[in-house]
Amino acid sequence: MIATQTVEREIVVAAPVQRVWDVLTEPRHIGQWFGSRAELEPRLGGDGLLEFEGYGAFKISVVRFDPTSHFSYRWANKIGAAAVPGLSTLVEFTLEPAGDGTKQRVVESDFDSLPLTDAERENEMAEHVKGWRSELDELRVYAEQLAS
Amino acid sequence: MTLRGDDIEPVLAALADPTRRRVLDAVATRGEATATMIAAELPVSRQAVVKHLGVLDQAGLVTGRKAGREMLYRAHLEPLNDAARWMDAVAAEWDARLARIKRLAELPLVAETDPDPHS
Repeated sequence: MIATQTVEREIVVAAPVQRVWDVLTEPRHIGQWFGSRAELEPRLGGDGLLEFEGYGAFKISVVRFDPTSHFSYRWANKIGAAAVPGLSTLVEFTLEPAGDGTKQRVVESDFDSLPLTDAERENEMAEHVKGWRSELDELRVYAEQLAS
Repeated sequence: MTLRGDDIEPVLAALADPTRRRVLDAVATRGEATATMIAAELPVSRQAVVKHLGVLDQAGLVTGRKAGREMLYRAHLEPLNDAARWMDAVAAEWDARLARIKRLAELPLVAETDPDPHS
């Protein structure tokens, strides 16, 4: 059984916190360590895009921006999906001074959030069934016309 | 396996509910079990167990076969291994990204004037 559905990673960087913060949050830098290209409004509530070659661009949305210690965003699960709870994971970076360098931590969580409640899912399923039924009805009418 | 793991999403979602994990545990422990058997073991109604088994079934974590008037369920743990492997891959990707941040941040500051130090 999976003990936890959260990924936590840590690294010590031999550079000042401000320098690591810049690499972490400036789009021109992000494109060099994350995906192939990045767009980001570096502020709380700012939107952005993370592009991955061969996949496309995923939306992100900044949920915490406290220079130079905390940077968090929601990362959409699917191309084109909004970076909102239920359709995204939460990525949280924390920086703190460690001697002459910086301790950098990342936590990715919320892998298990459901995009829809059971009721919404059932409702959506019913809509699909309805859609299919009307298409099948049209097909049946068409077939009957051909046969007559 | 996709970049954002949409194929294992139903597995993770199915496992997000602690009661559902206990239902899966109960099926796996017994080898095969009906909803009635599991409801007798856990503080959950038979109706709720049936619903949980339905979600587990959709995620590929159990399969049922008709046994008289009830369904007999068996656990399949391969999707759990897939999910665990995917989480390991996610962790490895973060290690690689953090290592790249480290390398960029540790570059001499003269590189700051050049947006791409490799060009």
